[in-house]
Amino acid sequence: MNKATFSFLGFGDIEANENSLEKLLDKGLFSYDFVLFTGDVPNPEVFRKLGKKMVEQGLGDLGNKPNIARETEPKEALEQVEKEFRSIKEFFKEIQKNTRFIGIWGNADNTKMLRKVPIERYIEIIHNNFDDYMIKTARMRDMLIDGILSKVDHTLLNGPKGDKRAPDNVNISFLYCEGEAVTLELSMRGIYVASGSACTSRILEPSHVMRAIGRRYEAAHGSILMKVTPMHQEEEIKYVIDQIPTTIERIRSMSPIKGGS
Amino acid sequence: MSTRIPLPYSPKVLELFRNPKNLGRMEDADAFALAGSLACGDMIAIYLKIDENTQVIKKATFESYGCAANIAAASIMTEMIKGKPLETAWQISWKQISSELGGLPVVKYHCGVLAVGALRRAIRSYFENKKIPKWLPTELTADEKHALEEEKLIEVLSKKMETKKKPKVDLTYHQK
Repeated sequence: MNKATFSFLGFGDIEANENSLEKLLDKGLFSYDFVLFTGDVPNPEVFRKLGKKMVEQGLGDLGNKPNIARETEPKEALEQVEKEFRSIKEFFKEIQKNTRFIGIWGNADNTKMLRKVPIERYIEIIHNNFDDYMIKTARMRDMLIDGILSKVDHTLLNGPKGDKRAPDNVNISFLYCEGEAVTLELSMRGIYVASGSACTSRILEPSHVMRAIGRRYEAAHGSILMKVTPMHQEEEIKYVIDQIPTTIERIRSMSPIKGGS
Repeated sequence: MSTRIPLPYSPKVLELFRNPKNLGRMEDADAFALAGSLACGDMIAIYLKIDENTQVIKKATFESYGCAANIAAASIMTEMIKGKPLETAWQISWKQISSELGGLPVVKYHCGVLAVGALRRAIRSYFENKKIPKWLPTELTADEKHALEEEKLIEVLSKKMETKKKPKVDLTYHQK
């Protein structure tokens, strides 16, 4: 059989939970030769597992494996991603002539959302406009953060503000609010977000990331993670800012614990 | 209405999440109980209005800090016990709640258990200064114990965290 080369591009976060990882692997991730994650700095465990498999497939010496898991500052991790992009682009050019690529992108946590696009096209679009995209994304990120923080009380911004923050990342804890209920309520309004609540993780423990940055359990339960991409429009950000206050108000109104008390 | 729901919830759970029945605080409740804790992520408050002579539940309401399954379980339970004598209400199991909801996802079974735990705690509190009827067991039932375990869960988790090494990363900018 003629061996075709495939590539997998997971664009977004990989949640560090055993279950979702297995699910991804079930989707035939290992049948791909190359894996790149451009989301949050994920659990090193994910990389360890994937890395091992790549070595087994004889691809461990490519030198192009993503290693952003080593970076501790989001900004540095991002710079690392950009470097990865550059080397990958060259790598593809090199062997493009006799191989075929299929790239998949989307939020890697949600395997249903994975979309197939030719990876050359994807790299071309993102890479050629990398700086513009990052500036645009960061602007929308700040718009979203400022919008939410100014409209909703009892909130905590998880992570730094400004330059030290990855351009696509918005992570806010809504106190006195349970995250899973918020994700469901928002999904009914057409907004899809993630939460660090124990209820959303299938192991029923709050997000290890929230815990690692020193957040209390209560804050971790109310944490909501949102991602902005270069493909988003300002109208969409405005819609989210409009919807969040009433959503949070409704979820908080159901709780026996009232804010401030 | 979107089809992308984070967990495979039944239509009944989603309906009760959107329009919960019997939601709210009851100021003049005859019996009240709180189960779960803020830290473990699930908390249910049950309020009961009870007819003194017949011991029939006239009104039941709930409040919930928790996921959609938690809200739906508490809501359907208050529907199930309304108009029933306390003895019948005591017999309700989390499996009945789950089947009434059209099945809960496996990881959400504990939400049903917590709701039952809260209800039984409320019924016990009602009989605190009264003559205890024969049907009320003196020992804690399995569901009540489970609610207690869930409240203690956080201590177990906290201990697990403490034993882990602290990260060497500079975290100062995460603190608000």
